[in-house]
Amino acid sequence: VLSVFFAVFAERGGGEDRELLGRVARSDGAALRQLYDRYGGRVMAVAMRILSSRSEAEEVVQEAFVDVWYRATQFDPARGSAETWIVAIARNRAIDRLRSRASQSRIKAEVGRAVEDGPRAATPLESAAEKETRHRVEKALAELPEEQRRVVELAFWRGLSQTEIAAETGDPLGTVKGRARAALEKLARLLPEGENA
Amino acid sequence: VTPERFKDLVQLYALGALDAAERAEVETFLASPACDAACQRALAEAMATAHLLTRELPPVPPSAEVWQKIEARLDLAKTRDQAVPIEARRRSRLATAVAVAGWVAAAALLLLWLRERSQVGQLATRTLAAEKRVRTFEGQIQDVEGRTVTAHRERDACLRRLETLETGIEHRDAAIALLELPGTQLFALKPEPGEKTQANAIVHTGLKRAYIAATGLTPQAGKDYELWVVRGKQVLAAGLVKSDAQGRALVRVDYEPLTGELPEKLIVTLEPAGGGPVARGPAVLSGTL
Repeated sequence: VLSVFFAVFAERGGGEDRELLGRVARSDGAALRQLYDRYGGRVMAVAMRILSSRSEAEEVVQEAFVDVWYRATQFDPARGSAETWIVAIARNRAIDRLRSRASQSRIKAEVGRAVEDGPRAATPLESAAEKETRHRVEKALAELPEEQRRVVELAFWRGLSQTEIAAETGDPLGTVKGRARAALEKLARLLPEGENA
Repeated sequence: VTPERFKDLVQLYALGALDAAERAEVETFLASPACDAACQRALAEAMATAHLLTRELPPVPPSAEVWQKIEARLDLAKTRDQAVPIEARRRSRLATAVAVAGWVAAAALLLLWLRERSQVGQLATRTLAAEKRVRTFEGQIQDVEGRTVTAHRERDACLRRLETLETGIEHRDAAIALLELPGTQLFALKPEPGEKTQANAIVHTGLKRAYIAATGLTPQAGKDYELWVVRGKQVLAAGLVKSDAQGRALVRVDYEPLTGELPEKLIVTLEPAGGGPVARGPAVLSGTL
């Protein structure tokens, strides 16, 4: 029942999001505001997770939604949902900032560090359905072996390439690739189909 | 990148783990015609799976200043008017395309002229004709673009007007919904000299439905505002436009002369209470499609 709910919810939300992006492409500021209201909190959370800095994360949120404004015509629904697209823009922005930070040693120092200032508590922005999804993702990630989780952390949240991860962890490149694929396959399998919509 | 190699790389691509060269390979493949529906589906699935990692995080509300800064950077206060730059950009692209086409045609004609000197006169005539057609085409494009920009502005002004009307919520929502429908026509009713009122008529002849949204129609004792439909020499009464104490009005009009066939012009006059079959009072608003 939950999967069906998620599938229906995702499809409905996806259609509305596509329409909003279409309006943004026609320079409709109200539509951008609606997308911001829907995903600003999620974009902010991703930017904070990557940058561990509220002020920098807020700059990323700004840059991401300015990008959405100018690039809305490039959105292709065949290649993923609007939410995925918007969050990916923000993640790329945040990773770019992370890379441009002073030195590689600083990045290394941050690798593996828990994000103490990243909020974990539920916020009023989060619906019951989103909370449920979050708990299932947390559970799925907790079930990954430590080495797979670390590859995901270094690649997705720290923006390291597989070669950089191999250098960082001292593992062979093939092992890093295998762990990344295994982690994603497991993650996709552990979650209901509706979440992949 | 072959489709097989793409499948091999797409998950790492979604995770952001590819090295620069491999990432470029994948992006070239994604932009090529070789990326078919299956390729796009594989990308969407991989992106969605990687995106799940972000669902581990509870949303964090950005501070209020963030939206204000976005608004300031994009100048969203003028967002409704930004249809103009878009149209301008489109017009510019079209003009460039037309210009390029013109130059290509001219170059082709020049080559022909060099090869076949005997046909110079004929080719010159053709060139002139082609240039004339291009100019005509450019003029038509500019005309259409100009009308589109004007129509967009008027439509946005109508939406703003509707949004300010607090009375008749159901009518307001229905009018906004009607405005969004394809086939809906919008009349801009402008004030007669000395008047300060503004209005729009939203008309859908297919659905036989119309709304009048107006501001500044100050109620006057013993008088009513009346709507008139002008078609040729005919001026037909189309009903009263009742406004509230602030002069705002949102009226649904089902009168056939308005909704059956698009009129040439609409007029609102101030008539004795209850209106009448013939317009006698002063016009306060008038407008065309």
